[in-house]
Amino acid sequence: MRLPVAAALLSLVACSESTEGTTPKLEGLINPRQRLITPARVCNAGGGPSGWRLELIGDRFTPVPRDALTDSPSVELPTVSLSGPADYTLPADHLFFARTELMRMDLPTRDSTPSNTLPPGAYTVSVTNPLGGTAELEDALRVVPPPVITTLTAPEGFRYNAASPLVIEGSGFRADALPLIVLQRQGEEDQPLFTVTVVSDTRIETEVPPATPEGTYALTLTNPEGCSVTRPQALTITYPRLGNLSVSPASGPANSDTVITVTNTASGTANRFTPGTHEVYLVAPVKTDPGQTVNIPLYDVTYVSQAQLRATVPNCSGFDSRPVTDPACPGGIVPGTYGLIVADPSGAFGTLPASSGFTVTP
Amino acid sequence: MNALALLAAAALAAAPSSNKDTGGPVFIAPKVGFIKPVTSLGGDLFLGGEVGYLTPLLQRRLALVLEVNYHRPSTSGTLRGPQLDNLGQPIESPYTLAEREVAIQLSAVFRFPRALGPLTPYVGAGPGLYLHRATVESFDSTASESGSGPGFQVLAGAELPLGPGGAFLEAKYHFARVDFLTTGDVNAGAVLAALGYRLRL
Repeated sequence: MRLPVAAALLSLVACSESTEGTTPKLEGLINPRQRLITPARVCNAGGGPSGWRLELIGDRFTPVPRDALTDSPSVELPTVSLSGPADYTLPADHLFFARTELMRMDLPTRDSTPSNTLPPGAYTVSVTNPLGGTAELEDALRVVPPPVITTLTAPEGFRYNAASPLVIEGSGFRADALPLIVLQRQGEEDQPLFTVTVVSDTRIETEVPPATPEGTYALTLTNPEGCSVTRPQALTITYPRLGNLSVSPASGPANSDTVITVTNTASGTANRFTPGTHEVYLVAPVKTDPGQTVNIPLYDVTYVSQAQLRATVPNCSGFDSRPVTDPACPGGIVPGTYGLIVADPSGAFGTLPASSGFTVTP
Repeated sequence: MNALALLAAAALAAAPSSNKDTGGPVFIAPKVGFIKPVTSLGGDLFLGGEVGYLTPLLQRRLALVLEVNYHRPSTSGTLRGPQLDNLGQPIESPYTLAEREVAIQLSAVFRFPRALGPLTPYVGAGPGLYLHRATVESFDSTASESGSGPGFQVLAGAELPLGPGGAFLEAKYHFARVDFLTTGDVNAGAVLAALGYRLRL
């Protein structure tokens, strides 16, 4: 009897294979674009060729040598798996070990190589140490769809002197965090839209800033987790026009501010001045920054009639508070001939080119 | 085994008939030595013990020997690679890999009693069961893999009568394949030289 028992025990020993190792601890995932958002959100599209980079925070993440006694040794990292609306195991080359408390992973998306579109939803994330145990964290990652823009409307048209409401409709908008919306035009700096209200995940209300240059713009909406959508030629901004403008007197000395009259000769579809607050700017440099042409507001702008405004050009004061006591007018306008911009409270605007504008004489 | 039989027959023919082993048929022997695996594992101390039975076959020159031995060679290196990366900064960490092996070996040993003066040379071979445990230490953590598999060994030695038994010097090679994540699929076998004392009972 002893021999068979010993043989059985020996065969048991011979056949058994086992591993022992450290069990990691997984505390959370972080999308670096939204460090304070828990659980982390990630978009299932975009992200470039590698997908979206996420951080795994925890402890005891432990790589081990692999094939160390062969001619081709390498390193075996922990494995990362997602389970939820779909199950997914991250490819080994998409995981990067920084230290035992931090790993980074590139989560593939619809647009990455290789691609993988995870269905939106909440996912449990698990990390398994090679030879060791598994740490699991429920609802550690929320996969969200990319934004889609279906319609873009400016219900009140565009006004030069004030912000113009803009309504964006579509899907995949984030009601819990504001998206970044920018207008883009070839050769121009991107124009971000600052006043944004996410009414729902299908509707965003925003505003085009006043005096945004006329033209056709693409609009890019970027959700905070990183996904963006660009609608080319989304928006054509035009403003109602005032008539032909002229100014009198057409010049003034650099050492004193000059009261001028702006005349609007309107014909056809051109707009006349309307009562209310007008804004008039001289497009000129000031002595404190002579290389930079800026819009210098005229002061004491007064509505005289549908054809005339009165305003004071700050030849001497520039942007400084008045009165200016220094006769050298250190903040004044650099002598030269400059154009004007006039914004009417109706939203219309007009320009007076520099060639027939106002001259600041030395 | 055919080669071993041929060797045994040749030895029988060559050996003087007066040179017969004396003493009881059972013997035990502790042994100690130095082992060097054929992999990159470093050399290590070897400890073993055997129980043998001198069979009546081949004029009491064939013994069956059951041996259990132990060694734990190790190697060290540095973990590095493209996946060890902290925002473009390569991460490196030292590691130590130890391969503990307990071998249970059954060998047929043919002895040439006093063939070289007082010395009794012997040769042998046989199968073995090799129990492996690879332990890796890295990043302040320890992980291990255990498993076992068959192997074989060949040996040669010479025994010098001393007291109630004999001191011996022995050389051995064993082949034992292991396929762990940390080691890879390799022959964890080794060559060794051991000293021991064989006590006849």
